[in-house]
Amino acid sequence: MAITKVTSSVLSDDSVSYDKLGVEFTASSALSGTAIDWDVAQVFTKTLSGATTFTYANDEIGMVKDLVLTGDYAITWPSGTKIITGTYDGSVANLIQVVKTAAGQYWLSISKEA
Amino acid sequence: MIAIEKSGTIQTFTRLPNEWNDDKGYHINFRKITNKEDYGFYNVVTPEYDQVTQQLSQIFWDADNKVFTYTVNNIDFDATYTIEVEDEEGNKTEETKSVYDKDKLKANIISSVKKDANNLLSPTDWYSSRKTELGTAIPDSILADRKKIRDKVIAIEAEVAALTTVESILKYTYNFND
Repeated sequence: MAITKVTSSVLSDDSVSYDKLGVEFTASSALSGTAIDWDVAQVFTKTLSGATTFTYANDEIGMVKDLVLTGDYAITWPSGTKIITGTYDGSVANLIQVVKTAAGQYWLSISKEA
Repeated sequence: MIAIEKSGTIQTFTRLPNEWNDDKGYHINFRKITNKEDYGFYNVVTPEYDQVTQQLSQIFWDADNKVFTYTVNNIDFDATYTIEVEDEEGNKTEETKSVYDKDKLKANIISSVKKDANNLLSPTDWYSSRKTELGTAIPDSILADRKKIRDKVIAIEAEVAALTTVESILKYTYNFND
């Protein structure tokens, strides 16, 4: 008889290791365009070469994504974005963390190299 | 200066904000945009005007020139207002007064002149006290300086008294170093 369903009782505590996680939690992806697919990686990197408008795909409530951005250009985030803290500095690398808190709601914090 | 019209209200800025939120999204590093007009920001043109005799209107959008600007209006120095006065018997009458009271404006200048003169005289007041208490003579140079200040006050008072228009009163300046 084939196993078709795994219930939580089958998994022992602390049994899901990092290796078992999907790429959306473990991978880093260099963005070639401006669409950020939240299923593709945990960390996205990009060096801006002009004003950039990012869009999201497959973003779900509770997800957190990390973006490492460089380049001294204006950046437009999707509507519903709120900046919690930090200011983008185009002269250094910026770590931008985005949390989807509700449908169409994104909380964003910016930190940078010291 | 630049400005943008948002929800029927014109907001002015000395320069582009570094963050901006609009229906296109939330923009960061916004000062790096190359064409502010794409986001609704346009230059503010302030016409030259005489700050004593003229005033600027509310800022408005000049669609022909694609700028935010003002119109220049002359101040009506003859403007009056009416107040209701009640006498001891309760009778009410209306009294018309000038918005720009020339006598009051002149009095303000004279008051300011006397205050300035007092500030200039006070450092050497002790010479006068010393003479009163001890009989020590006040140096001629000090006496001359103090007289010069008092003479200047008299001259300014005469000049102010001779002013006839509100504009000339408002534009009147004085200087004790002349």
